[in-house]
Amino acid sequence: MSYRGSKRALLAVFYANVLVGAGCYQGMDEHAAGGSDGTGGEEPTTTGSDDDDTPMSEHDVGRIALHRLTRAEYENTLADLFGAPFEEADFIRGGTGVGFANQAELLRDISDDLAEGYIEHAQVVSEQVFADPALRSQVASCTPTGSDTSCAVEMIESFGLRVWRRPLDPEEVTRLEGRYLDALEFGATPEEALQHVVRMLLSSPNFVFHVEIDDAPDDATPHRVGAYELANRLSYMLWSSLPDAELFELAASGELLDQEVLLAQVDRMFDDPRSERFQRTFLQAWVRLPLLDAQSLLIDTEVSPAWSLELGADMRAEIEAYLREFTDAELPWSDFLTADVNFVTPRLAEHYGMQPPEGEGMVRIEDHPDERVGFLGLAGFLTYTSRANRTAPTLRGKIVLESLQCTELAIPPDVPELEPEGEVDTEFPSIREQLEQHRASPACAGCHALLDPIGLSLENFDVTGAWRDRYEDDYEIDASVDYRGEPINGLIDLAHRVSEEPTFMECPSEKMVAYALRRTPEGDDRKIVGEISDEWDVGSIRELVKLVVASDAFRFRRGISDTEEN
Amino acid sequence: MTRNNQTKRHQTRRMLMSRRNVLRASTGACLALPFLASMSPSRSRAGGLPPIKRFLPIYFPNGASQHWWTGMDTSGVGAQWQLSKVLSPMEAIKSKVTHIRNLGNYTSMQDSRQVEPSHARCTAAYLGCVNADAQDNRNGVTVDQLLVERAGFDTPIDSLQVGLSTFSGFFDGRPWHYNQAISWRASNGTYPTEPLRRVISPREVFEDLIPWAKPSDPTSNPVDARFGESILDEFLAESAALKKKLSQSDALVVDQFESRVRELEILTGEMGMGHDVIPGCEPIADIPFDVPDSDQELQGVANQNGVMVDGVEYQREVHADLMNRLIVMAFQCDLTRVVSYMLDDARSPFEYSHVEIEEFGGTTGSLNFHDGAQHNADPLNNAYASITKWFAKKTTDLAQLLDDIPEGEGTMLDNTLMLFGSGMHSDDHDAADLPIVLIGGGSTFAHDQNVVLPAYPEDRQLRDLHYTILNRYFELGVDSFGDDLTGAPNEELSEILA
Repeated sequence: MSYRGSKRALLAVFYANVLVGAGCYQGMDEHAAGGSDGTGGEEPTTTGSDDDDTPMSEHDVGRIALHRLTRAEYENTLADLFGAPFEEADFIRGGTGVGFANQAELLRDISDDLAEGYIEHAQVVSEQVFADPALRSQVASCTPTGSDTSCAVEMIESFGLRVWRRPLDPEEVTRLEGRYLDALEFGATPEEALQHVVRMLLSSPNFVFHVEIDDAPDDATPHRVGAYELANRLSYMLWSSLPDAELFELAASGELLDQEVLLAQVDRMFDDPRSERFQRTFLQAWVRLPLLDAQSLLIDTEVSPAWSLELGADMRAEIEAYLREFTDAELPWSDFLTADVNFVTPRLAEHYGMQPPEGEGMVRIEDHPDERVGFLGLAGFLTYTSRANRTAPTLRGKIVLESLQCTELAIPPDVPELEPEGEVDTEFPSIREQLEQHRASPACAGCHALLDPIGLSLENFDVTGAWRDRYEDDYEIDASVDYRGEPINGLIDLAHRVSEEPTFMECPSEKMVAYALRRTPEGDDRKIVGEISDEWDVGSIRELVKLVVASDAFRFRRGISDTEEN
Repeated sequence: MTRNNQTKRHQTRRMLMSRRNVLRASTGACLALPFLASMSPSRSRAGGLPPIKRFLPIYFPNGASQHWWTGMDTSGVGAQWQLSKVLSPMEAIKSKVTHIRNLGNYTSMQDSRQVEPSHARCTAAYLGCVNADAQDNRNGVTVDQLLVERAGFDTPIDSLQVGLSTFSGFFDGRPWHYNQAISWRASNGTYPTEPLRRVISPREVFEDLIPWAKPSDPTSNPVDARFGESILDEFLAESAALKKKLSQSDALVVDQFESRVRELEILTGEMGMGHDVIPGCEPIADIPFDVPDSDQELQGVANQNGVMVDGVEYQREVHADLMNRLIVMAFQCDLTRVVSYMLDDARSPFEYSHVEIEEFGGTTGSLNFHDGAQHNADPLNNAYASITKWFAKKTTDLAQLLDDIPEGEGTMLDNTLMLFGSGMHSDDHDAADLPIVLIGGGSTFAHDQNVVLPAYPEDRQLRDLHYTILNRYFELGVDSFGDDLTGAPNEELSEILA
């Protein structure tokens, strides 16, 4: 299909996705104003004494509502408990496809299928574990004999600690010991009775939920999160799984409550292979990389004949490697859009018009002389922000604004009709003119003034992120736009200009807080975001993690007030 | 784990699912025996009982090609109206078809037909006629589920929701179930409603049905129920202890989990079916291929035909035919009276390469349903019309299968009301003048007519059709159905009645 031919399609997409209205956006900008007020004369929260039991600032530290493990967390936790992955927990359904999967509000509903899935999965896993000596050895090193419960009790205490991510209280241990004896009475062998108890541990709400027991659940003043709960917050943040032996030990001794110890753990955990999960659940979800997997299957090969799933996989690998530059290599976030770094296979190099590297593997290329820099220039990003058969400037603009500038766009209640039927093709010959038409409409101007300059300046990159000078119908591409009152031309200008926006350096704090606290920052959370953002001078993701982990909101919580309860 | 284990586990699970539905249907709570007696298949065949009535809403996404309405602008009965080319497959059953124009579904959300974002919200509202966005991202109880709740059919399975989607589209920033479920039922959980599980896997549908369609195996060795009871006891003890330590709102979440676990037969030990063979019930023997369920965010198994899924080539046509046979089997064995059927998910980008592009007078277009056909420079493109026609064809196939089975005085189709349509008009994404066809259901409806209601904005709303179905076909005496922001009361669609 020619570009010209797809114009009507474009307009129709606007109906579905475009966000209109003079006050189109909210979010980061609004916060930025309030945030600087709030932090005027105060000391940053993260300095000062480590073992004080009162928070550093007077902000409401909020609380994390009870919620279940995400599917990834559930699967990872089982895998780490036994040292091997189990069958997929496909009974745990997905979310909206936008935002972080770990948000508490998305994880509080338990459907019939889900409840059944948990109980059944516990049965399947416990059967498998006891059928495999290697897995079984993770449960307990002892072998139970008859009605002597010493092995069962040992298992309940040591393995139970890991399954429920906290020590079991004596009452719980005694009750489970009783269940073991019951099973013997039903005719089970000692091993089967032990399996029965493991099945119980895995069926429990104590396993399925992120449980934080607040010793003062009704007290609205901030109080410390317990050491085991802190270990859980940290390990589910960085590993999407249960704490390991070292974290449990530091929780048991209470040392984890010491801020230096806590931050040293962040470094250790970052260097552990399990932090790969942080890449996936935080960074990749943040930039919406999963969209590429879906888009890879959708690309219209008539429009993009060079497309292949292998090329899509290379693009994904490049983005993963690029993101790692900002965690492992600790590049500052200020370079995220402007770093001239690519990771190419021969296939991807060809796609970029670069000299293919030798061999088959992926090679890091720096400062390649072309019109491509930073994250926005990565072919994968440009691909998953396109439609199957055409670029979508509005979509590209939307994802840059929402993901990288934390600018939320609100869909207006009623989108006016933009053009009468059938007049579109002749009246506006180019995508640029169509978008100008949108901006000419007062109702549409608000959003389009924000969205279009970003998308239009990326128009030299086609559906799969390859460079182009002209559209398929030979219509010349013009990537010069007015960006918030300043003329810019193309990706490189855009990358530098967006990097200078205050929202660009503030947004990661908001995302990190949302991810770590498993809730959308609101109320005083936004002040905390502002403080963290102000203090984030090193600008590396690892440093940001430490700031968030050290913050009051991570280490403290408050109870729920009566008014909230209703 | 091995494939074998998976399959075995799966079968157990499916069987249990069905059992749980039974318990809920008959008692609304966990209950032990004696329910087997009430499950006797003769319940519905006994003389003196009201005639069997079934409901089969069928949905397709992305609106209909404008060609749907060609030549159907005026009301007419019998020879006075003709089916458009898109709807021409229905010619053979035209005497049992009512086509309705100018039913909208927007007054529950706003005062104009341009509902945004359109795909997710129009789909969520198709059978519920409420603004799901205003329901804390949940929905109302949909017409089919209200029917299940009120009518008390006493079948082994309350209702099924099946579908053909194999690739998740785009959710418009809404939860996945806006796009992937049209049926919502009341829930005792955190939210007042929940989406009904939608099954695209023919094998899963089959396994839902087969334990009821076949007599139980007396030689099977039942598990000692005491183990399950022990697990349940422990669960309840842990749940109770935990709830004491939580805030009220958090305790409710645990409570919801608890109330659902209490119903699980896997724990209550009520296994085994033990029922007779139902006359006329002939379970299909063979599931030639299967598709795993794909309602996971951004995941999917096959966006086109020919993709290998578990060693078998995926073909949408085969998938559709198989699902049709399974629905017929469910009805024939009287396992359920309510099936909702999504021919595809909202905003589906599936590549309908199995559809032959016919000449409708437009440009060729593209068989990529959402991106190529619905969003095309030429809204009258032939591909869009051909895909829409394929939906009409598959729906007609199903109607004809039902019409071939004698039942009572007429056929199974006469005892089954099919509602075929979409929540979206066409390429314009509007929620007015929806493509809506009623098929079957017997003498309650006039049929063989085209009903043209006043055009937008003087149009009528889909909620009135659902209201009419509930009261005139199922005779439930419902006071109102769906929302209307103007406060307009429901009004019967007398035009469609005999």
